[in-house]
Amino acid sequence: MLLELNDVHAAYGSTKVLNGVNLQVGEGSLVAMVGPNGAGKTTTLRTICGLLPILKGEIIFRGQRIDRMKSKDIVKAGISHCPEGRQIWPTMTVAEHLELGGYINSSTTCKSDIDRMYELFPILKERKKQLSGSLSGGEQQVLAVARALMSRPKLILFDEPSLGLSPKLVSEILMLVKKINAEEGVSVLLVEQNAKMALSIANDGYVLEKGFVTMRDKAEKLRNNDYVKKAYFGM
Amino acid sequence: MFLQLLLNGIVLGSGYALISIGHTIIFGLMRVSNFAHGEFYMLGAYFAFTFLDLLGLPFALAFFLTIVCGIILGYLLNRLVFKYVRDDMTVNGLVTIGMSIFFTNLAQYIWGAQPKNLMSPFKSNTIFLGRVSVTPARLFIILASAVSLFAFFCIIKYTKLGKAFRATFQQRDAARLVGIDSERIYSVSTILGTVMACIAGALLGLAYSLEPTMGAKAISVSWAVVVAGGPGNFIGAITIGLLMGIIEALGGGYISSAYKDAFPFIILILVLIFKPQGIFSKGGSRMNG
Repeated sequence: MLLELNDVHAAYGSTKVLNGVNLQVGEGSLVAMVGPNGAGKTTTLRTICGLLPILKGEIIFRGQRIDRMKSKDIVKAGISHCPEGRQIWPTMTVAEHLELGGYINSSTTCKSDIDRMYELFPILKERKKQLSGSLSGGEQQVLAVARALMSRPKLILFDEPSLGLSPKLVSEILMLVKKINAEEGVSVLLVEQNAKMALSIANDGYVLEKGFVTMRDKAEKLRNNDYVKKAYFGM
Repeated sequence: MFLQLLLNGIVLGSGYALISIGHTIIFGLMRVSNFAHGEFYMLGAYFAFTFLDLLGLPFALAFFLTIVCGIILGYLLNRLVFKYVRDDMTVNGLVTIGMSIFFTNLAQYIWGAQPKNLMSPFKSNTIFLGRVSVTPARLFIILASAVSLFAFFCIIKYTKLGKAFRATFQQRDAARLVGIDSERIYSVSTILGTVMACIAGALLGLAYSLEPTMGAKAISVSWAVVVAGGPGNFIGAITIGLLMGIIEALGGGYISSAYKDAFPFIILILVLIFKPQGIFSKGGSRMNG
């Protein structure tokens, strides 16, 4: 297993959010995590990358315990996080975002990676001198994805990449996630409101409710599950 | 007369700009209401006094050592104080008020309450530029302030550290997610802010006399500048800092020198009435760099 969460508990202050999450991401796979608002999906991702301290349990990445590590060491270990709401730096340029995305790498590595990002995402090349606050929502999301790729991760955590995008862009962004997984060989843990689409691109799926994993299965099986259909697809 | 006052105001204002840019980093970006910032300005002046007058070191070396002392002071300030009180503005306000009183009295204990003057390495004969007279020391203050501010901007704009600094204050979590150590950025910010205050003290010490209580005036003006310019806004801090110096000099010259300390606050009151988010801020948002 690339990433393994065993009985992970976490809280914001005195409010417990994760009550023992068990989750696995295999090497090269694309895992989708769906669930209602407030179920702890974002919290799970924040706990994995060290933004939130773990209360109990363990997180193992490539055979190494990472649950007590600082976020910068987790990035160095090979986990990148594309956060909810994009979290770009509004008064910094597109080029500066990519440079900082490769913060942990040497500047020569960073330079060649930036060129590769411009090849992958021509729109970023066009906009490279522009302040990212002036980009459209879709462009900002592409920038956030490129920034997350710049650290050369083994695993990317995507948190609601489709949030606030038009329906056409939603499918484009999710196709991009799929492409990163298939062509760049980066494993993906995807959290997504749009459960149907997320499960249609994923290999494995998890349903998270009230801080517990309530279902786990192959993504296509979950997609055809009556409960999931009713609760999350609105069918 | 006008040009002469204007020049005096620019000298004073470049000092204010330096103090305020440090203050706007620590208050506007780090959200620590640092009432002891004026005391670091005062200490900067006394460090320079110690190295120049008491130890008799050459000017360049004394100036360099003052900056080194500022770096150490800033590092310790973050490590021993800010680290623990950063998240609560009431607490850090109270703690720094205590520090302010402590440092004022410590300086009085070490260096005495008598006003001191820095031994200026510059010749005292004034240069005449048309009808305006200026001492070489004052020209040096303007020049050195400009160089310090320029160096600061280059660090923030072009270095990897400066980019990490901006990213941290615009969106901290995103910065941590690319591997930036935010603790280190806080340390660097405190150091930058403190060093700017120390440089201001050492420079203005060349033109004005030193007293342990000089920080109180400096911090009041600095609050006015930072709030009027928009907290966290560097351009605002520099422009308003210069402007406050100029207004103080002009007001002192044309209206009454007895009221010169009041003019910066008249400006502040007007800004708070008509543009409370700060002159240089767009909407209510913070601008960073």
